[in-house]
Amino acid sequence: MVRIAHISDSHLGSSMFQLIERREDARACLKKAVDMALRHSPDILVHTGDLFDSPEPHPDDINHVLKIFKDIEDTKVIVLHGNHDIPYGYKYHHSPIRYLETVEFVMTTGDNPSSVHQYDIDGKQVDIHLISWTRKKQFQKILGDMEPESDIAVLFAHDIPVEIDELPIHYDYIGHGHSHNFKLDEDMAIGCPGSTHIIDWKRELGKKRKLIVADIDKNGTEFTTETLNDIREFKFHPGLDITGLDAQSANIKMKDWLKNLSPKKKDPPIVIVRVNGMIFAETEKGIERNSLIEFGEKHLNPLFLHIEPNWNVVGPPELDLSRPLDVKRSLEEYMEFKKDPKKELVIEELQKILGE
Amino acid sequence: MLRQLRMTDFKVFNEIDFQFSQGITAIVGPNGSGKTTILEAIEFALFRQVTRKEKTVRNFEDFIRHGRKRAIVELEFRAPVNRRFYRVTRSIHPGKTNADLYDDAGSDPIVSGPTKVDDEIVRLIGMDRHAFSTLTYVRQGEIDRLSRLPPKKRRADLYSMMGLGIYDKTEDRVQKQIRELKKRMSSVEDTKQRLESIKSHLPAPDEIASSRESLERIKDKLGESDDIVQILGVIEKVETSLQRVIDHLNSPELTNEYEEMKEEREAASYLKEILGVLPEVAESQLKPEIRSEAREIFRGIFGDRYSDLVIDEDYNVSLYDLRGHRVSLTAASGGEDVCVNFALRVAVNTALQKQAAHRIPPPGIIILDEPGAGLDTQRRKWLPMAIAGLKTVDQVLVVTHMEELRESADRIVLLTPQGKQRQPMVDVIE
Ligand SMILES: Nc1ncnc2c1ncn2[C@@H]1O[C@H](COP(=O)(O)OP(=O)(O)OP(=O)(O)O)[C@@H](O)[C@H]1O
Ligand SMILES: [Mg+2]
Repeated sequence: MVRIAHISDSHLGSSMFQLIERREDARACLKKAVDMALRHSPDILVHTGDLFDSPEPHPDDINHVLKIFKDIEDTKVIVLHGNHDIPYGYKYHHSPIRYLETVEFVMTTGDNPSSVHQYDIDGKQVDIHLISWTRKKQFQKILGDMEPESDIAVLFAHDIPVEIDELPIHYDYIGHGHSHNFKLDEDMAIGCPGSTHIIDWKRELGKKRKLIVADIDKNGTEFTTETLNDIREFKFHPGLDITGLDAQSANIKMKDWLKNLSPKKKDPPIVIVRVNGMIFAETEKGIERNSLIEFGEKHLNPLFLHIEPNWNVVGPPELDLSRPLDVKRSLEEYMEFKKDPKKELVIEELQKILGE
Repeated sequence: MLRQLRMTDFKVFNEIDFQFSQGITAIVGPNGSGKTTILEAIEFALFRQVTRKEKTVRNFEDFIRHGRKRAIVELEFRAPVNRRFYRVTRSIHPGKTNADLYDDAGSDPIVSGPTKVDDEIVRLIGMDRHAFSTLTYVRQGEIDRLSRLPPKKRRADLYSMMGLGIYDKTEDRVQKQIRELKKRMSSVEDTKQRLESIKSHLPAPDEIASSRESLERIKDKLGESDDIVQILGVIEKVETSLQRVIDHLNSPELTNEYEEMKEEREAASYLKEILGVLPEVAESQLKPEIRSEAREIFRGIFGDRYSDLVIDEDYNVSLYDLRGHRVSLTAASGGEDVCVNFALRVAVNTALQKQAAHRIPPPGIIILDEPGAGLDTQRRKWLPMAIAGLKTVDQVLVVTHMEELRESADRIVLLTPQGKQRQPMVDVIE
């Protein structure tokens, strides 16, 4: 049996809200994911790319990765080049992943978009096909040229830019990254673990991230998954509504809302409050954004409090034109609304002038 | 919306064909390789106008390739008004330009002559050149234009982008009608005055009547004579003249019709007044939509620093940072400024598209000449992705040196100068 542990998309160097603490978190989450993977004693640990958020990572991030991968024994470590790892123009030789390969900590696709390997694992011959981030056309060509020879074959790619039915069926597992949300199709044996921490809260909050462990033998593939929680706690409150309130009441309502959230003593969380509703411009002007945030921070003691204005401003409740860019229609509606006795006369005049 | 551009002897291009497709097309090449020229050819083909370095170019002769006698530009585009394809050809000759507009398949022009073609294209596109160019064109060095404009001009620009110029245009037509009526009325008044003055110089009807009676009495006394017939003839002539003048003064032309004109003029003036108010009503409806679209786009790129984008009554844009502090656009960084302007344009496009069920949809195209200036590497990657993610803009042309922008393009048109006055080599990478 061959055991593969699959993680992806660590984006070391990314930092939500530009928080330096989140850089730290990203590193800790990667460490956590690797430790979790190693507890399964896999033959292969694969990271399907975007290990770093930029092709020129901070030295702290490089050192962290070196430290993590240095101590790994008995497990082959594969890391692909993701789109964030390589500089423009598919310059794989300038990717930090390539550096990790030269110091022999990991294996990647070298200076190329892809590579093919064959190993003896547990007495069995295994084909490992790798495709780093590349253009779609190139991907299709590479995929078409790859022909497994052994009984067991796996494909790892940073991204699968083609439809599932375009993929060949001769792989026992196809693992990819790029999407930050976990997805596993056991019948098709295609898996994406999602990122190792939350990178973009808008897209990833409430979605799953998991370690995927694939056990492959002649009879097929069996999957085990384990949830990867971000080490930082996120509290997301999407339901605050200030529709119709004036500024003062809106401020009070938001303050009360914040007051009702329970503070945390240790491990300060990231708190996100989304404020909805329809308000007037006057109300918006009077919302004390900064003092609300300061109040919330004092009360909740979070790592970061984000109040997201999601409200819409409506004009004075005068009249709703059904087609604001249709002159005649708007004129009719406006005069009707004003109960203007000259309506017929004026419309007739407009029609005459427009030659209708 | 654009399908094909053909240029003959247009600036650096000798004979060239560009196919455009949906998605993002990046035009790349070194300085002077002809990137901006391609965009200028498009603008010229559509509107017989080229704006360069914020000035409208009037002398098109400069566009004729050095050493040639004329330049030709041919553009195929889909008209938003009916979603059909049209082909416009314009040629530049010393001192004049020519134009023909064809139906997609047709070989005979449906409209000919520069002005007629201009008008027809404005109709097909559903907006005039000013609206089109503020909405879709972001020129080199102009991406932050909106924030540099004085508030009044900025408001006008946004008005025009929103398509509210339609009210101004209607108002102009009403004004023209008012002027026309005024003219006609004053000519009627002149006639009336003249007639009244003639009338005042003629004897009054009762005077004529009593003269007649006097003459009758003389006739009774002295009997018929040639002298009397003579005088009677004159009196009758005066009487007829007077009657004519009176008839004319009472004619419908000078009475009822005049009254009608007066009424119409009042109606038209009233109409004009309302047309002056309506854009504000329409605008107060469109603006919130534009704002919330712009906010989404801006946060998509700057969400790690900012939480909000607000447009006030005077179209001053301000931002709120993540700490809730207000940052006016003048205080925002150069890159943030670029992004706000970009977000606003795209937002107007989207908001108009939502109104499109009721009117001609916006052109669905955005043309950007070096939009990434001032943005850092990460954000330059986001910029085209932000556009690509928008359903309402189905064609994006980006002219750029920036590598990050190229990478997110669906197609790259690569221009390589070949020296010796030869046109640049064109490679298309998909
Ligand atoms: N009538 C003409 N005939 C031939 N070449 C011309 C003519 N007029 C201008 N040019 C040349 O065309 C070039 C202008 O090209 P264009 O503005 O398209 O450059 P670009 O690719 O946008 O460059 P940049 O990256 O600097 O903006 C200039 O080098 C200019 O010398
Ligand atoms: Mg240029």
